[in-house]
Amino acid sequence: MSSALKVFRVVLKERYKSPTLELIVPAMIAGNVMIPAFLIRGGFQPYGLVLSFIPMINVSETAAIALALRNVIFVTGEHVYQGFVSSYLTMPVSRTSFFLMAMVSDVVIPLFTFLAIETVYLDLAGILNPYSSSMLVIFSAGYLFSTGVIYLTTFLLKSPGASVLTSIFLLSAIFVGGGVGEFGLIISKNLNFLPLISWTNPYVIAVAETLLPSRYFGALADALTLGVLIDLILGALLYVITLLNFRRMDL
Amino acid sequence: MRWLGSLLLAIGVAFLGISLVTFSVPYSYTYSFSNTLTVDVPSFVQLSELKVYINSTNVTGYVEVIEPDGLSHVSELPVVLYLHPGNWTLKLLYERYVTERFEVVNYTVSTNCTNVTTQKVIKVPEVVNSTKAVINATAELRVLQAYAVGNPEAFKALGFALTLLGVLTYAAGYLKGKR
Repeated sequence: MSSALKVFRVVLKERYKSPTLELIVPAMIAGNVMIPAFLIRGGFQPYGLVLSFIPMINVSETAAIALALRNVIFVTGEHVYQGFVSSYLTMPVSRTSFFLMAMVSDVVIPLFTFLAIETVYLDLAGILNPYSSSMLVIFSAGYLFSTGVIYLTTFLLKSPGASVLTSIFLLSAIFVGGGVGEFGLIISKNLNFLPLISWTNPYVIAVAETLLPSRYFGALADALTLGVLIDLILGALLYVITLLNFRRMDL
Repeated sequence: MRWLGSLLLAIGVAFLGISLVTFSVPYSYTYSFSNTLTVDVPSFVQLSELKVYINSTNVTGYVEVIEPDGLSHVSELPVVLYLHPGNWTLKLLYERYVTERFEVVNYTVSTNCTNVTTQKVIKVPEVVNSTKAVINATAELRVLQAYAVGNPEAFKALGFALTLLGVLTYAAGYLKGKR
């Protein structure tokens, strides 16, 4: 086994030691009961499906975000605050490789676990359709942006309490404030500015589009696509900034 | 080895749990349509009832029901359909209602010396067959039996198999570690 893989194994073991996955994976599977419940209440209409994928309503999404939050702040962050990272860097891996390993195990594995569980569940329940697939893409983009914010605050603030509070307040402000703004724009039929803030909370647009498709005739779909793209670009940018910061960091 | 066993056990128990979930919803969802209504019944819904009617006493509506397997039939409203999973399409074909038309008729009155003809406006009932829906039809959906997954029996079997495999893997790992 190459040295990089050995280090990755150590990084992985540290984050997923028993019973992390034993608690998270069943919670993700069982949390899916909300999807049929919403779909039945909504008369099998697409907006029932869209509503069930809003974070905090959807238990599986919340579990994925919670796992990533814990990994980033209380494992990777803890190593940065306590200076344990230097012991990892004595191993034959570069700072960039170590950062990528930490990122994959902190963020990408919870996301892939979530996507795998959702895809299998939606297929077995017979509701794997363009609406549910789009919601998975929207969540993935928002998740990468949110974890990017958490990563940056963790590496910049170097304190678990400050990182948790700052990232949660910042993300809540973006999500709630953006959602209120989008709602205002949609009900005032001022759709020109909507693509500019659609990245803050794409769920409001998705609900409006599926609730009254005949009113908007797909006009919101463009804003939604742009919002998801902006989320992905911002997420990638945040990770690059964090990596550059980590490479120059005194440990 | 032991972590794999406990993970399989946890997934198996979650599968068993989710396969036992049933929904009994004392709630009906109401659609209103004037042309076509499409109801895509997911596979986790075993049985649902759709009551289609026109909320007007003097209008008779006819609806074409296209079933998921492509078969279609025309029913007079009100109708109760028991939906199984698949894509159901309902098309409001035409309405038949009785309306009153005013008609001017010549009315002759015989008097002693002559007959006097006057005109009189009378109401004439008329049956109108309209292919264009004037009144919206209402469809009330009630879910009678639904699970959380499409095939709960298969899911239950899979959950049971994973639980068993998890216990065996955990036991094998435990024994290997003891040796």
